[in-house]
Amino acid sequence: MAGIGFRLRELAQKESLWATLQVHIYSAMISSGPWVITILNLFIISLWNPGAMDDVDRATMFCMISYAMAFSFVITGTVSLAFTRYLADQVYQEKYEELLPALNGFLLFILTAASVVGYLFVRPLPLSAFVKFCGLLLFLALSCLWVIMIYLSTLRDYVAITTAFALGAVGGWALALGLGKGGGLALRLLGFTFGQLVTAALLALRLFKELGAYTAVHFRFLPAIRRYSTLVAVGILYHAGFWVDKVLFWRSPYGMRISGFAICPFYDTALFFAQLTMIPTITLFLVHIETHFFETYREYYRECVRKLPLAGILASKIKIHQSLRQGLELILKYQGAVSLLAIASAESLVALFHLDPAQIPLLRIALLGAFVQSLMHVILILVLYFDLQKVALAMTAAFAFSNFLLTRLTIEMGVPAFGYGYLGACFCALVVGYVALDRAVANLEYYTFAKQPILPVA
Amino acid sequence: MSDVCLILEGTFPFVVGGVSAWVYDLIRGLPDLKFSVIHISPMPTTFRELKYEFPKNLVFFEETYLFDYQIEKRGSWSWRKRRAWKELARAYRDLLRGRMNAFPTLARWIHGGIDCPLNLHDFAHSEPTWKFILSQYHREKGHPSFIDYFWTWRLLHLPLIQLLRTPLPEASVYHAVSTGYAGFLASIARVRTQRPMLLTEHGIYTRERKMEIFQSSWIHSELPKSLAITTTRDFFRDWWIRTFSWMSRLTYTYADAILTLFERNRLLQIEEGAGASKTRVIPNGVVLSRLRNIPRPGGLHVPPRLLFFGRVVPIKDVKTFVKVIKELTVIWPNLEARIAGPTDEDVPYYQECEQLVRSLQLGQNIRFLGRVEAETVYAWPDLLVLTSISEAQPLVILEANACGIPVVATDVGACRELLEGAAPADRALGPSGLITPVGDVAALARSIRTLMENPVLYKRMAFAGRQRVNRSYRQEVLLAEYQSLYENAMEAQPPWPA
Repeated sequence: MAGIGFRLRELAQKESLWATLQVHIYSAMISSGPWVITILNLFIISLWNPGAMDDVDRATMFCMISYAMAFSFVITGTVSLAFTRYLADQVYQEKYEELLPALNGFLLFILTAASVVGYLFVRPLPLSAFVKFCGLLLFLALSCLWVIMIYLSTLRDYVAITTAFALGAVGGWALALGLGKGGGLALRLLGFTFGQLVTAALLALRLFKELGAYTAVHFRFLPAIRRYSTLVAVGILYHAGFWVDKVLFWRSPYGMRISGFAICPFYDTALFFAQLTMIPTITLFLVHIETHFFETYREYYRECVRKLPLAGILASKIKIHQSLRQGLELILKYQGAVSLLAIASAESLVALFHLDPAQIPLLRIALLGAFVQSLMHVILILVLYFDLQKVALAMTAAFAFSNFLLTRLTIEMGVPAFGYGYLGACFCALVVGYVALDRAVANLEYYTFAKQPILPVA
Repeated sequence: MSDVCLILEGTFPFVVGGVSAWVYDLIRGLPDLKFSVIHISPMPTTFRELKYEFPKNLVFFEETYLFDYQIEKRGSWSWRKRRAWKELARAYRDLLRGRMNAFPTLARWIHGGIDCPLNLHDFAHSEPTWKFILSQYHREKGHPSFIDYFWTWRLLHLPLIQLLRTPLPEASVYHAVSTGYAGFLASIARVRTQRPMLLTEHGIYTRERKMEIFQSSWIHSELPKSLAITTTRDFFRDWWIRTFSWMSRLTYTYADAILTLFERNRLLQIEEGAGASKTRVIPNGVVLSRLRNIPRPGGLHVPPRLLFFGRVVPIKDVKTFVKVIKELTVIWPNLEARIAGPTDEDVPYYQECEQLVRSLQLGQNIRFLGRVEAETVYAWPDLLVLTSISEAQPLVILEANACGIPVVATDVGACRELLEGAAPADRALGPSGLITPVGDVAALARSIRTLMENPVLYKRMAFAGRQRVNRSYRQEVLLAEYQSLYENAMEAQPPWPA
């Protein structure tokens, strides 16, 4: 069960440019793929208007995709940390046959919950039943896709994954535009949904082939979710933090109601666009973690068991430090460059993507916020890597609550303050996380030894 | 509330053996006293059979476990904890330097009451503990494996902390039947309740543990794996032995009377740090009235009948006995041998013994009887044979001699004293058996032959045996001595208010 990390390390060993490129493209794809595709769709389908779709329909479509994305992220994100932890436990115990039935069980679980929640949400909307159905379908398709993404790192066959994404994206766009020409909103939505479903199906097929199983489905992950309740809280708070500023804007005087959806395109589009610039960080981070950092991390734990004196163990801890520092430097450099570039060319970008020129200041702040958020995201992943669950809870709680408070403040203060709520919240969470992580790594041997539970002698 | 609280480790009522039988006879033999028993085990197991029925005057029985940790959620590190910690660290360092009078401080700061500032979580997981372990680690010369150091520290100290937190039954006298963990718990009782504490040692705990530690494979060895004999001390084995040694000395310090079964042991105790004036020998005893009347044959049997009476465990070295039988079958092909003793304590070893009997084709000669009542076997044999690698003062030698059965035994523990006599007056009675080196199959066979082929010698030894047991090893004497010890102890100070 080597998976992506193995593949990445393999590629990273080869000293060719093509190999390095492959590594990064692949990482980018599996870490950001569907999310980027969804956001790009938001722009392409809703803002670029070749077909005869009137403004109301276009806006509705925008709302539906945004809401489907938001809801699907939240509904999967709340429990997927705990679920992923359950999977990690199974892999550690080498119970690989548990993985696939757990996937099926989890899918069933999520889809049931999603159907109920989605139905309750779309019922009161003033849209045709068919449109509502398509929206619901998109919501479910995206939820499926996020769940399958969890398993993506077990696959080595990046050709298959690339194909799945490509087919899904291109197919979705083609279908959406093609169907939408005559059929309007609902069919466009369907086309897009179908594209996502194709991706999901192809990936699932590949997973089924890769992982064997004795049972078709089980729900043994449910007790694990209860056991890792801290992680569930982290998931809830993280996603709450992520969406709370947008929700506050939707319900503010600056928001509007379109076909029953509360939306604030002014704020949303700027934020979504800014968050696209997080891709370099997430990609680089994934590559660095799976290659360099992971090796030092694993080496440290091996050294602990290898009967070395304390000095030897501390020496390998220093290597972890160095690797972390290297990784963060790398990210600061590249992400900093990308963000700076984007901030500097905010005006051109606004023109390019047909955004409102009034959004330029907001876009700038949002880009800065995205930069800070990408750092925060990195720190959060590292915190979870070291299994500092309480720290993760503190970080995400800081994120959620400060985002709520600060965004409310900025809404009161008016347009020039927009975006600072988001920026402030990311910064808060980043500081909390960084300080805690720094302390934890400094005291790593304390956690490694003294925090070990004393289990009964069998 | 009992008169005497016996503190035991790994014996009565779960293990059949010499010490357990001694405890059982002691409780039964002093029916006017109320006894309570605390039994120390490593871990709670699902179900353990009681091998002995509780006498009526055993009014309270409790088990306590060394490794069953209930680690509660921690409280905040308040100033009370900090102060307690500082006092403890100082007491600990004093104790390491051998100043045993720092022990009451330890017992005062760590206890099981609700108001104790430090709990097990603090000792297992907290930062001050971690820093303390680090400081101790850095004091060690040479740099031992840290992971082993850390876990050895936990393995050595947490059981002691666990015992410090164990609630003690109320009693007028506390009586430990070994040093080690039982002695530690008894010392705690002495310091907390101010009631007198007695110690009786059958074997010397520290020495027995030393043997086990040297044979164990799970203790990490810092020595390079070479065949050369070195004088470099092996860090972790040393640490284990030092700890047990310290626990012994602690018990010796706080015991009001230190008893053992034979003189050689008493000298060993003094060597291990016991104050000579506190030591005394009270030997094992048997009930003559029961044994004297067991019908014995007039002469020797042909072929001979040899009895092995002991648990089928490696320390009794049953395999050597089997080999001795093999050698003797050359002379007496129809030799009969019986191995009486529980076979369920070490089942793999028992199976190996059976396998040995089969492969040496002694199936017709040797029978395993399992656990038997003492009186039932002594009518049958000509000789009792003891091949143990380690012993204290085997009751079976006394019982056999009391019945008029000579004994061939290995030179371990008190065997020589029992068969050849201790004091000059005792020696004047003459030997009641033959002593051989440990594991020496040829010598054992020779001795058995000597006795079986020499009826006059046999008769003389049988007679000497009866006389010796009658003079020095009667259970009535043992019980009377302990009765007076207990009564003196109970009157020593006014009882603590309930």
